[in-house]
Amino acid sequence: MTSLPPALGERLALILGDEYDAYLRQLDAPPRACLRVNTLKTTVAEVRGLVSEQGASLEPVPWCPTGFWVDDKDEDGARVKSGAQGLGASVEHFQGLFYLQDAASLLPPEALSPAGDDVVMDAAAAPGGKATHLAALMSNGGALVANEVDTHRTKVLRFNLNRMGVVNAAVTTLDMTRLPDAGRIFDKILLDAPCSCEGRIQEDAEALAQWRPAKIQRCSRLQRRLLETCFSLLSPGGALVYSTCTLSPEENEEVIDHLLKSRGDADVEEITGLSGRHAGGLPEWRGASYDDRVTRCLRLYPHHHGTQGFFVARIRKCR
Amino acid sequence: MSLRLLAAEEKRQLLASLAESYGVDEDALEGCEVLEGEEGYWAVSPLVTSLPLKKLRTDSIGLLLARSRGGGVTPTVAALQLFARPQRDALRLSKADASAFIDRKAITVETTEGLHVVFSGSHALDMGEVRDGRLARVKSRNRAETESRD
Repeated sequence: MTSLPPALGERLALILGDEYDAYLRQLDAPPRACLRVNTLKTTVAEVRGLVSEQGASLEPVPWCPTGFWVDDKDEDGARVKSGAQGLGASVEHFQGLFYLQDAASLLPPEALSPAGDDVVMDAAAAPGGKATHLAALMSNGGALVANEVDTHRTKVLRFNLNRMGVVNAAVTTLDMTRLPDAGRIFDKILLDAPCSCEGRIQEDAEALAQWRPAKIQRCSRLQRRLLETCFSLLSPGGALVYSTCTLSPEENEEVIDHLLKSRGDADVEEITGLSGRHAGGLPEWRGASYDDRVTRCLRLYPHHHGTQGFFVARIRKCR
Repeated sequence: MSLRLLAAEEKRQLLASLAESYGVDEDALEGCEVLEGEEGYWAVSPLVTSLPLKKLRTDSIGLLLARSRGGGVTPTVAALQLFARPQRDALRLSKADASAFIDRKAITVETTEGLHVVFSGSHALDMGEVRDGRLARVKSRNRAETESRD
């Protein structure tokens, strides 16, 4: 059974309350493989056929019409194991017909819901799962700025944009802790912020080994700066989705609360269209009370659907 | 990066050349602008070129469509996979042979010698060259880059 550092266990018990035991049981479950069909090159029907040829089946992800869990099933239809073995090395993967990613990471682009004539930024885009998803939602139209400050990671970002056939993107290397002199040009921005990765400790031993309370505070300070910069680049009436794969309120609700207190033109919107089990944002944490609007944010816990833990907030710039 | 937008006639000529030699679908590029840079030709959605690209510290835009080489142009893997359609010289492989092909293993085929756009199912894989009845992928700097993995 996965063993959590006592300080982390104590925090998660407080965050999850009655759901903590279910969460602990999920930690030892095998990760559930998921693919997103690349509608820039193919159709759901074609990929469904290709996967079934390999003896696996696709189960729809409730919050993404092109997202599917890949399961191998026995004769009675019971799920026996993840069916993604070999898909990453398959001919169809090489052809860019699908992207393998955790189902929870499909939620932020769907919540942003960009249109084909929008100017969109993915502020922390490598390795490209969400950026290529945004491009597909935009049908390769409009303009997508796929930003990655770490120039070593732009190579894999470019590779994935190429593999998925994206023509509407510019890869940029802005440091988003500083406001670029680009104007308020973006209709929509996705900020999937660097975080302490608590939501993926069940599948990422390094994330668990590197977990420290001090890291949460460091990440929280960075996230506030990144969110302020991104919000400043948004055009009036524009929308921003902030997400992390961590469960700490300091990196989630507290970051949103800070923006709401510092920017009178920011508002949190409900994320519509998500069916399936999830939780709302936490209104308070360890004696700190947040703006009521943070309860409109969304928390996805690993035991809800067998995904990574995720936090998603949709913010509107009112003027 | 310094890029020049191709005029309509230049774009038409380039696409006609790619269509003739490699089966690249000219219509598929109708909504794209084509820009010329040091590396070659880029296909890009028009709105991207209206962004303040310098201020955004732009590393690359759109999709590298083709490289200039010896007076001709050679399409990239990404361009073939997105825009190529089967034509008379297309070579279709079984799933097993397609796996071997992308792993850069030479395979025996019965077809004419020379360059072919290679397909698996209805989607292109890459360009291959047949010599002495053996098919192998065409190597290039771009291809090495696009094959790096996460």
